[in-house]
Amino acid sequence: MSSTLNGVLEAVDRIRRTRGHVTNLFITTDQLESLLDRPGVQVSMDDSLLVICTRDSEVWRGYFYARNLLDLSQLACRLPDPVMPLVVDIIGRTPNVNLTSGYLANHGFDYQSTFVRLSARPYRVIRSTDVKGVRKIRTDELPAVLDIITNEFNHLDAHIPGKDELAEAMHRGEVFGAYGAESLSGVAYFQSIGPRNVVLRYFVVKPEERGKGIGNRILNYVQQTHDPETQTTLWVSTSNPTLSLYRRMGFVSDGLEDHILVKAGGTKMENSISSFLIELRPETDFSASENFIQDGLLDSFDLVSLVSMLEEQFSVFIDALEIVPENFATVDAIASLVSRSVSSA
Amino acid sequence: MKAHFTGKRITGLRTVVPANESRFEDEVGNYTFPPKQTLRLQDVMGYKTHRVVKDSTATSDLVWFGLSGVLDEGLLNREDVGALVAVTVTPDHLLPHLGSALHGLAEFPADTVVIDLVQGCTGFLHGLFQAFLLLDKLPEGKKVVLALGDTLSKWVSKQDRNSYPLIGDAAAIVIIENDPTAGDIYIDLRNDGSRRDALKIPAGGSRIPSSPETAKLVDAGDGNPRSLDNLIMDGTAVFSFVMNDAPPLIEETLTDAGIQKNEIDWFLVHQPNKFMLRKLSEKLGTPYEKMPMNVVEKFGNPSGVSIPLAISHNLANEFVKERFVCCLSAFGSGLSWGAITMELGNLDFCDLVSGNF
Repeated sequence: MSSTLNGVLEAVDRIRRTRGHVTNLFITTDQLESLLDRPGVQVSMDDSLLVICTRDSEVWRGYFYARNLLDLSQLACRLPDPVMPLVVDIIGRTPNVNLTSGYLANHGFDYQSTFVRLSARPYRVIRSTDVKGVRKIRTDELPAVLDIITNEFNHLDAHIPGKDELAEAMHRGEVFGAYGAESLSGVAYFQSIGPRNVVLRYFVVKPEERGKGIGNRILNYVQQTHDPETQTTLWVSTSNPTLSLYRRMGFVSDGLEDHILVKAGGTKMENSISSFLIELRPETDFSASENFIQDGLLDSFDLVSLVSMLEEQFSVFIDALEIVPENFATVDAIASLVSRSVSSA
Repeated sequence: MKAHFTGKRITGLRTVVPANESRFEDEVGNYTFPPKQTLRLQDVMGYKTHRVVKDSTATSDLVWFGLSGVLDEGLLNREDVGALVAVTVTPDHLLPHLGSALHGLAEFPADTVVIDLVQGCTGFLHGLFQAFLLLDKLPEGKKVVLALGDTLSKWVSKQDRNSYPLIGDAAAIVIIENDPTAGDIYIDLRNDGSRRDALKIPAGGSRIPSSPETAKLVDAGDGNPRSLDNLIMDGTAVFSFVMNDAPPLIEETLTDAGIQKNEIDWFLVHQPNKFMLRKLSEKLGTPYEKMPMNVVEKFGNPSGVSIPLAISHNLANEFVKERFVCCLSAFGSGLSWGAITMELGNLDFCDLVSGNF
């Protein structure tokens, strides 16, 4: 075992012993080890809070163990790189999941979406037994499958599968596709997690092919390949219109919910800075300038106003010696100034 | 230069402001900026109310009101005055000097030394330095009257949002005398003339005499129409000057005096604006409460009178009753800056008066 893993396990053990601890990390030691092995993973821990951040393309994903809800307020401060958003999944049952996600929502996180877990044994496909054009996808079709999935999901809502993960799933024969006249129009990835137990991980029909029964054809096909006693589980967003369709197919909720919250990274900070600039000088087109000071767009009094706006919005103290023109030359320079300023919270 | 004085203290202080209060909210329409943007500066900079004199009021009117009151009320005897130090950058005339005007009005004897200093925001520190030097040579029992006054509002464009809301007119009379029981005084005054253009009134002197041409308001592109007769300030340069140069000088003066920062009861600092004072206090690592910073929002920045005004507005009663360990610091045109550590208190009088100016 690596020293990091040992340290993390000790921290987990310490925190778990406190009453009312909170976590979003429900995995085995083996899974933890593979999480810590991911490239770019960052671990921060002390007696009250363990945070593991993994990089997922344009976002950080955060996993935590905290002694109590109050300790969670420090979560965002442990963010390794403030330029990328931090996404956390809070999985559990009401009311606990509401308490944790509600607390985070009051401490700099925004609700992104809520998913519910549904399962059926077996599901019933409505109106159709058609399986035309459906088959297991060959491994050489990986780019087309990735294309369909990445077009449908974003990194904030979904753990988008990596190339390797998908390739392995395709190799195991767990990825199915429906073919239209020329190309792939829909895919479904049924991950087998045990005997007669599958998880429908991704299920997408291209937007322009929807309403043609393609989804039903895939589900029919897969059901015919599965044992009739197979339990199928899936997570679906409560705002997804197919939720009611799943319910009609016999899927029922098992009470587990996944609240996805996002702490905005640089994008939000830069947006706030841009809106402050517009508020200060409504008539000015800042986007056309590469240096606000040299171009005379901001004077020293604007800097004073801006400093007070930034200190208020981002709860920081901006050091007096940092209030120099070059730190206000561009939105990036201002964002970087805020990032390296000391928290006043 | 650094200097160490013993056996000298301030024994009385009176500050004078015009009674008429001008509200920033009422002036918002004078500026070219959107009101919302201008009003944001209210809290940040302390743009609330300020005191400016009428067109007919001259600097000596304000100062004489203070000095004559002190004399008439018996707080100062004419025969005790050994020297008069007058400080202003906005004299009634190029000649005669402010000191001469006061000497004449007060009917001081002919052997009274009169020294006029041309100093802006560090005027109080320079005036005290002169007073301490003079007290070493004056006959026993003689006092120094430090008279400060400025009416800078007359030199600031009413359409200059960056300067006009901050400006305040005021005067102060400070009595300094020898007292063997007084605590040690450490003073350090510095100058950097290479940065002299950061605060400037271009016309009105021998370089560019005032003329109809120099009185024309021009917007140089920053949205603040002003003329060559008006004060112009390089805000960024002044801010970075204060943040870079004042804290180390204050720290050094405390070290010279052998006083820890937390032993200082009051940091009495020049009052340029609230933002700068808040940042200065953060930079020094001192609590905001130990550094009065409300002079600008109530009276405006009265140049050399700012420290006396900060004292008489916030601490008048306390400074009559007991003594405090104080650190004084000022910074301004020149560029000039300085720091003093000294005991202040047990004053014979300390008050703030206003008149119809």
